Amino acid sequence: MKLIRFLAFSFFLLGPLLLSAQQKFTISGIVKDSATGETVIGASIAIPEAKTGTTTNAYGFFSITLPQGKYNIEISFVGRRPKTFSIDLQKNEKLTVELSDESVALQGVEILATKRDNNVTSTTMSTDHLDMQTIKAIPVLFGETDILKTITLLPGVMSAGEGNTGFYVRGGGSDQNLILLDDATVYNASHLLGFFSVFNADAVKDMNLIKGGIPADYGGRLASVLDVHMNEGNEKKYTVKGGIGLIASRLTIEGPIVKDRGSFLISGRRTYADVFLHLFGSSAAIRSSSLYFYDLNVKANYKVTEKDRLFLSGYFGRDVFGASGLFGINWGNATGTLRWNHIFNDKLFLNTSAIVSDYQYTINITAGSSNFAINSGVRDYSLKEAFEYYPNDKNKIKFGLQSIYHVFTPGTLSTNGTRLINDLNIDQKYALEDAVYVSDEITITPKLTIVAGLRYVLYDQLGPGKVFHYDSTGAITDTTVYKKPTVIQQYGSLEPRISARYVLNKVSSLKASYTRTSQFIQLLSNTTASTPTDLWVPSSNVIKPQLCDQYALGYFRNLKDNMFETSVEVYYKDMQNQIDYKPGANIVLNPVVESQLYFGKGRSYGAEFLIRKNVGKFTGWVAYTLSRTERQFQYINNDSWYPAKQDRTHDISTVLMYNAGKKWSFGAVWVYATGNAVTFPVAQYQFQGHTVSYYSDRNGYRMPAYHRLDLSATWKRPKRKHFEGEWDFSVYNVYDRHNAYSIQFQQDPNNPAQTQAVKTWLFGVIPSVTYNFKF
Amino acid sequence: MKKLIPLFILICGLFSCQEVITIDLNSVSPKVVIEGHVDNYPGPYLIKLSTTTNYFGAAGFNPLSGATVIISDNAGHAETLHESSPGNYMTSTLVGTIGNTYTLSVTSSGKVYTSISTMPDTVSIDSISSAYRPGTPRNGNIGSYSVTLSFTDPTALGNYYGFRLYRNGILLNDLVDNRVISDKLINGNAQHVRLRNSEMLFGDSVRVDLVCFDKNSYDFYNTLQGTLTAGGPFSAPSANPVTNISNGGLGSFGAYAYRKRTIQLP
Repeated sequence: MKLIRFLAFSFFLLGPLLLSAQQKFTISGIVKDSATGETVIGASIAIPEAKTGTTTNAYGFFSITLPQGKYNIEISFVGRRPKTFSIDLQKNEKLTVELSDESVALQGVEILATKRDNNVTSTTMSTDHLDMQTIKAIPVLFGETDILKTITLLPGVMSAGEGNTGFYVRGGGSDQNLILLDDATVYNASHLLGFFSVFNADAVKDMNLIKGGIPADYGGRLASVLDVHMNEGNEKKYTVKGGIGLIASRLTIEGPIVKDRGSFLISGRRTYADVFLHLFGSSAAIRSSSLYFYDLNVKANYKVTEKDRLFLSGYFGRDVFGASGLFGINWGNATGTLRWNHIFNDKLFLNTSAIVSDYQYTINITAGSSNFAINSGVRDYSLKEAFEYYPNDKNKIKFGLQSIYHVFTPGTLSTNGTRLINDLNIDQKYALEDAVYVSDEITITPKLTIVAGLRYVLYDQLGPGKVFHYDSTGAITDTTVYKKPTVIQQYGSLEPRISARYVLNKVSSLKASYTRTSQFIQLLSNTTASTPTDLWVPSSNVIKPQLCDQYALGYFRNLKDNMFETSVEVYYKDMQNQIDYKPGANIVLNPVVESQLYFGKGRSYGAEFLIRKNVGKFTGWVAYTLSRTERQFQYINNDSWYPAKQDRTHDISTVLMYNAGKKWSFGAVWVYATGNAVTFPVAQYQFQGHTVSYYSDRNGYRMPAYHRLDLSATWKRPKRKHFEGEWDFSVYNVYDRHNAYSIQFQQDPNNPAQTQAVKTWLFGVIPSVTYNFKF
Repeated sequence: MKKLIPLFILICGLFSCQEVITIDLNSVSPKVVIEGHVDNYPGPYLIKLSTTTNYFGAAGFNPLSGATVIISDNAGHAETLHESSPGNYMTSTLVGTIGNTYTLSVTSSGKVYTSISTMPDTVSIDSISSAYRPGTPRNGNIGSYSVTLSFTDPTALGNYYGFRLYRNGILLNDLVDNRVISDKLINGNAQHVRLRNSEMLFGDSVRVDLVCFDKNSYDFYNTLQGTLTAGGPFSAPSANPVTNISNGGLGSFGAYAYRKRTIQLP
């Protein structure tokens, strides 16, 4: 008996070795949506027999290598009906798997809870993925679905304020988020001074927000990556969908170029607040003013061969704002991306992108017989080569390179008519950002997986141009003129990106990560609201690149057969070369803008708690973040640590959605956040008859806490022929909380001997209705 | 750039509302505030000293008495000012001269505050004119006057301007009430500055001063105007004005050179 036991034991030990001696084959393929042919990003491919799995990449591609044998393959994705099939792996297999919509396939049938333990088993941490179905179900201001507003409901992500699409991730500033639309950087993600984001929900397929453990293939910003992918267009049939809302209307047309081979999508949106202004404006000046934005998303793709696919995508948006004969301002982004997916073989995938990204603003002012125009902006040209290599079932390797050429136009002022002002041309600034990266997701044991990555960035500030040298007070000591495109200043940054996951048991895991990030361009903004005149400037001899080291640790646990997802993450961040402004700093049309800045350091730490329910009639989540963000600057608050503007002690987001059947669904959002750190006066004095505030410590006070409840109801009209209609009713700020947007201290206009604090709030209760259709 | 602000407010005005709220503010130990100047016209010159008070206390001038105030120049003149009324210190013999550098020294409670300023040259006024904008009489609005001051900025860079407006000999707008100008963007050009005040009426005698001062004074008035509007959504973060007074003193001292012109409103 002992002998048999020994043999059995030996066999058990050697078994895997014997198996691995077997020949191996690769299963690769594409996962698509059955109705539209859109590729599915992040679909999970699980092979229970091999206790392994993978996920599809940004183009729906996957590859997994296994020993020959019989396997069950389970393919699943949130909101899609999972598919399971068996395969007898005797050769390399190429698959195209189509997943159908859960609601379409199983209408009226109780949906079985699929094994969605991805949050526990995946190696990614500090990453939030929201599908468009969820985003569309959440009530929003004026009924305009907005992904930038929705992500602020996630743990560790905070809204930069009401009527502001800016967001703060783990204590980072709103310019420290890398916002990508089909690989192209979006420099100003807001419309209408931040009330709306540039992302038209009808054109967006998918978004991923990475707060920590940032993979080596992303770089250029300190705090986070928001990676947004546009829809590719229906490659099966032509469809038209749209929406009519109080503020804006949308229309999207998509369809095949050649069936199952290529498709296109055109999606447009325009607001019409200006129409009301013209009709109901109280004065001629208001009636003649313009106030609108529009944007256009275009995308086309074509499968040239089974191994090559081309994508062309573009975004164009403009805001126009002005009163005729007085002033006008228009600004906007334009991006264009040409991508080529090439599958070398079932193990090597390449994506090549050529990208142009542009942000410009123009201000026209007419004063009497003269008028002048201010232009400013930033334009990027970039090239990206991204390889994905799947050598075996233990390694998933990514490597590549990226090169970005930045052209900054800090400002030109041109005049015509009577000359009151001289033309001013601040030199354009040039910079080149080159990066190489490699990362490997290594499965060490089925329980332990490590992603080891390294990114190296070489940054060059390039000529031609004038370079100023300053003394400690900010006065110019010397000027160097570069006539040729030579390197003025060079910085290198080596960035380790390491994360690890250890599975504790079937329902829980531990994850840890260390990330170093750098940032070579920064946004100078000197006002509370985000205005289009905020200025992007590159690192230079004066502005050192920003650096950040982030350490994060997380515990993930699913409850009740994955019905509930819970997680706790803690993080610590150390930030170098942060920027603040001297008192009275002038950043518009200033050739020596660098003299207006202070440099210091920052730190941020916190804990994020999330409980989320993904299945059943009731879904939603509660996210709570406890955090602190501080800065230290030599000339501010006597070099002691002080709370940054984005410091929020408590931040709670609650999202509830209830699906009441075929026709009705409901949503509710409640948010609570500690007020921003602000500077209030501590004393007053008289000067030339005015009462002047005296300030002591920077950010020594808090705005009142922010909280708000929003509700929504959606009524879906039963489908008739091919026509689907849907009414969305929503109420923003249900209990009419007057959340402070700003607080101004001033002399009482009715009694100049007294001072008062005046709160401005933006939105009381705002009901809205939107009609959406699709045919 | 100020012209942009109304257009931003236009959109906020579509939705926003305002209300007065109560906020608890800390108190700090009083700071010394200096307001005064020397100019190219005969004195006496006035230096006003006061201290800060709690923000929500009784507003108003809180005089600082018993300080030692000395103004000296680089031509060997030095004078101790006498306190003519609480907080108001006057010179008796000092004569402001273009090109001289003036040093103010204030000693109070054992602390010394100093400030230095050089008087620039004057710039001549080319012309002044007035314009009448009719109001709507049925609303009781009888219309208003504006006065346009024209001058030509000298070709050399580094001129800074402020404006004062008097009605029938009484100061209506002091330097802080009109935007100060640097010649950074306008160097060498003719300028037409419109000054408005609804208190000006037909028949009034209106005097306009074109005041030249140094960069420190420009920085002070420029940032003071920011401080007075701080806290709004489109204004810079709240901060104290940049002062040229040492040792934590507030306010400003400067040597100004001005030219004046008077017009009779039709």
